[in-house]
Amino acid sequence: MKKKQIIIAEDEPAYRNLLKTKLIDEGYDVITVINGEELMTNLKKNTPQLILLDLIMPLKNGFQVLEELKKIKDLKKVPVMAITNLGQDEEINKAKSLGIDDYLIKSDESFYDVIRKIKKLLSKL
Amino acid sequence: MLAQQTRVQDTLANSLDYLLEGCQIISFDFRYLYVNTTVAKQGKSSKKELLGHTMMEMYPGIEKTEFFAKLRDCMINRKLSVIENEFIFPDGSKKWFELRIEPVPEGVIIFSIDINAKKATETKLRKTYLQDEVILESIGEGLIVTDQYGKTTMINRAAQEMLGYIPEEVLGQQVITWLSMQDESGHTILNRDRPLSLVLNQSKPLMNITSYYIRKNKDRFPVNITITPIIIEGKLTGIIEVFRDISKEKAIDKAKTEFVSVASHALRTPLGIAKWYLEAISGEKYLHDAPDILINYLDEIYKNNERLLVLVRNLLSVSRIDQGKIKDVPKKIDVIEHIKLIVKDMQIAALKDHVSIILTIKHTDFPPLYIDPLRFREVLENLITNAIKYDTKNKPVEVIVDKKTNLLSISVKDQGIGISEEDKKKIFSKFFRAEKAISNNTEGSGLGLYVTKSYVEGWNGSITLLSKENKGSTFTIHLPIAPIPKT
Repeated sequence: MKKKQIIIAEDEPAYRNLLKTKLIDEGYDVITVINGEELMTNLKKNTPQLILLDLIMPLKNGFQVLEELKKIKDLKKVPVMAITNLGQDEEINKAKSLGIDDYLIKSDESFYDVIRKIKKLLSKL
Repeated sequence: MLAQQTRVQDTLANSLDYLLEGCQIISFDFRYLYVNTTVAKQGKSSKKELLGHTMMEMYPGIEKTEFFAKLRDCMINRKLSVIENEFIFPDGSKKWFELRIEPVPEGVIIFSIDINAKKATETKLRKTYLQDEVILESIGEGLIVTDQYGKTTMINRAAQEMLGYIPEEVLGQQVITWLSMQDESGHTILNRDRPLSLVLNQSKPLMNITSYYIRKNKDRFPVNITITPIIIEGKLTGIIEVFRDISKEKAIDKAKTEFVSVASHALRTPLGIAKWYLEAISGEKYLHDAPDILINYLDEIYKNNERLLVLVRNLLSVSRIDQGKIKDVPKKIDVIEHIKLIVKDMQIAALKDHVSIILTIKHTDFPPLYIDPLRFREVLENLITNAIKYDTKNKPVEVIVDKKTNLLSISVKDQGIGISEEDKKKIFSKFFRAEKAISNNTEGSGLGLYVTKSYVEGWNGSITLLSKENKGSTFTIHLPIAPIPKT
């Protein structure tokens, strides 16, 4: 069976590497990008099963990415999980209004809870 | 008849002689025709010396005085005049008299009263008044004084400079007509709600009110105001308002709040990374053969990292409260079910500290509460966490739900170290930690109760504290049981 693909868009290497290592370990195909622009370029070649999206990134931030994704037919249905340190109501609400599937605050969630949630979301697909 | 007339005249002269008022009759050539005992004394002379002599002989230089001019005027124009005159004696000494100069057929009659004491008091009062005025004028605080109707009777220099008015524009005018007041969000405060009106109505002082004043040029600036009623012999005669421009304090406070906000965001990333890596280490097989000491040390690192995260989270909440950015997302909740759930979740944490939580529901019949569930949880968690933390004897913590005068009351009661009277006053302030809490080595940032109180007050509720040192504390929040607004 073909591995499910996850794209991690995260500018912070420590977060990026830890997630990548663990998710590969869990049996997923993982691609990492370091900003929103790189993510959009990559999405032209790949249509992943899940996008893990940091909201504060250089070049193109997560909110801008979400706006663009909404407009691309093939990508509209790809689930997006925000993994961010922005935890205020207005930020969460803004992301939700842009069609985010789940919103996780990094410093509030335990690492394993995040992994569990990713696996759960992917298992439904 | 003549005998009777003479007797009357004698009696009169006799009476005049012993009058406490000085009395003298001066002829048209300024000679003393009559002087009574008091005048002789007032003039530091005797009847004998004065009678028959001219005023100029007795008091050289008198012809140059204002008194003499009035005297002459009365002789010529035959008109009464009353003056206050400072008399200079030949020896150089001075004394104040009130003089009534009246024409009589022989010349003029002068009644004189020694007003030296009165004048001295007046001078002293005037000096004090001038001194007070200089003090009030020169203080850095703005000062406005009004009468009992709120009409401006004084405005000092600092107030003039801050507000842009000159006294001529405002004196005699009602303060509320020329000085407009706004709240934080720029709404004009109604006249009847203004502190000035409240003080005039209730005769009670109002201290340290923060508000905004509008300058003559329509600029607005933040002020701290204290208004005191002037009560003389039990009657309100006006108010004194002292205010200062707090723009600088506000700006510093804003900068600080923003700094805290930015710093907390920046702190979350490294703390979050450390958290995840520590969790990854403990969750994987790396530690299977690790010595206990390593696991303990890692556990200690993890616990303290979590502590920092809580602190940063609280700092962010505080900075958002201070910036007025807290926005509730209220939802309809079943309050009893919600409390049960929160208490159940907290039991686990409590058990780690060997404390149990007892939930007592004295009243169950509550309509659904319309409240932000996350904040409601945060409030209860804060109070319960505190109760567990300061419950050093591991006695159970009680959560009591009740209804009192149409308010929902939730009490969190512990039997811990308690709070001293002195500390009670400051317990809800930012960064405050009670003396005992610090000496007991309990962790804390001094922000939890500040955040709790801010939230509860935001819901039009209140929080109260009952505490006795070494007996324990009971924090109670009171929330209005309001009908759900239609959306």
